[in-house]
Amino acid sequence: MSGQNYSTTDDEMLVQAARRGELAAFEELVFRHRDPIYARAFSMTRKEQDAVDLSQEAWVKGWQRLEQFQGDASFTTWMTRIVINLCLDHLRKQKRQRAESIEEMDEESGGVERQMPVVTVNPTAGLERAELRVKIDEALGRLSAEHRTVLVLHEFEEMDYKAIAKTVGCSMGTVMSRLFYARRKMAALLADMRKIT
Amino acid sequence: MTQEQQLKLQAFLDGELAESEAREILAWTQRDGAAAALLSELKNTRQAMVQAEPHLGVPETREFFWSKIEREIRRQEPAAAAAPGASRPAMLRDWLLPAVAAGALVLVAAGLLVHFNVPKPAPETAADADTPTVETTLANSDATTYRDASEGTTLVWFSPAADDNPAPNKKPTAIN
Amino acid sequence: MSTKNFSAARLVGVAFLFLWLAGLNAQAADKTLKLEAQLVLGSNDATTNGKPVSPQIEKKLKRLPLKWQHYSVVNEQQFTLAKDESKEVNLSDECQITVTSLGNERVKLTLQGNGQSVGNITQELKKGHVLVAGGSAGNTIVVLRQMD
Repeated sequence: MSGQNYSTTDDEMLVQAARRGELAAFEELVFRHRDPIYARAFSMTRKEQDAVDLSQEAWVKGWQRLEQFQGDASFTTWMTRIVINLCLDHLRKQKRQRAESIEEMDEESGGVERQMPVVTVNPTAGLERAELRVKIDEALGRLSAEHRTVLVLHEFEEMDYKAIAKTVGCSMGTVMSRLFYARRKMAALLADMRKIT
Repeated sequence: MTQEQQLKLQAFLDGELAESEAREILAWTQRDGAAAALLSELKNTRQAMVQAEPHLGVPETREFFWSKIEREIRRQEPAAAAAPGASRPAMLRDWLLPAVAAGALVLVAAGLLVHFNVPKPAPETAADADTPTVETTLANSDATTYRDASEGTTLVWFSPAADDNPAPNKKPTAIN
Repeated sequence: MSTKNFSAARLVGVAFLFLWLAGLNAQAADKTLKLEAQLVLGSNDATTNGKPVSPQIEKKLKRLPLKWQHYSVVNEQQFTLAKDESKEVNLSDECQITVTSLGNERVKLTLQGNGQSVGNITQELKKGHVLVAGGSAGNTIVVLRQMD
């Protein structure tokens, strides 16, 4: 391990040093950005251990692909793309191992969410930011992986429909319907939580 | 309201419609209460999510989180420090100096053993006595070892390997 | 005292020292180990019920890269092992261990989760040293040490 202190070095210089093989510079990058990368993995998988493993795998891939980092986007954005792709692969493999879920059947047939009554009152109004975070986290955990993925990519990663379709590997129509059902379900879940609390 | 109309409404909210189409949808929401209510619900949900993305942190210490990454990098790239473009000082620091130091220690230990004719250790103790030998017995599992030499503590953590990307020849490695 | 005599005395001294070391070594190889195995629950909740681990163990555990701040003993068992002897210890319904004494204060710990072997660890376990194994059973870890 290098004895050099990289704590005050900017990301660009750290990337350059890491490209030269300086593991200590890469360690500093991991330290700085590990939380958002882990958070993205967790938001997609909802399993702590899977999220830790996938984010670590993403960092290993990041090291191996450093030459491909052009600096067009920020280093975190670049790393986030890597972890998202790993999570998608992980979820696809999981999906292959389980029977078709009720949510997917619902989605194909129009879904119950389409007929749900509209939530007229903003269920999140008046909530503290921290409280809202907890509720959203809980509600996200109750969505199917397919719905959650599209929602996370659209709302958190600010991807447009086309980019999501490309990333997930489905049609734009599927992205739109999944996003719609996911939002409706989120609204209903948040409204339910409001009633309970 | 048809499904197509619902999705159009959402596309309007997300700025995915052409200007002319967006004007049509806007007019529709102004005269149709159900469309306006649905648009409002979708907008509230989107706003809530954008404002309050859950903040999460890695549930492991910096050292433990990094140790697994470093181990994997070194396993996949035995000469990580000798990767294309690797600097000579880094190679020297990361590999050569520890190797020389380890070699010197082995020589000193061997010299002492010969000199004092201390009874030979059991075969498995020929390696560093402080380094545990770890074997995983479950398929697709992995083990991480952490040594706190100053406290005389050894931690061995068994974890299932990611079955989606089985790394070949995953052997536990000591992290000291 | 002549130089020659001094050298001879030193040689004899070294020989005695060697014999003493050899004796110690042989003793250590055949020594019966008094061991204690604990099943420890890790938590970040300070109010968790249960007997806290000893301050010495707590200090060691807190230095490890584990995610918990508080540790309490779920079960503990003490046993002795002669050289080459093995002992199966049930720490809970889900967690069993088998410990074998290999001589020279070396032990082999086999960790089992739900009746299935998870892995083996072979390690020198001197007095004051601690071997911690985990990963197969949620928030619990196994702590093995030689008793004082």
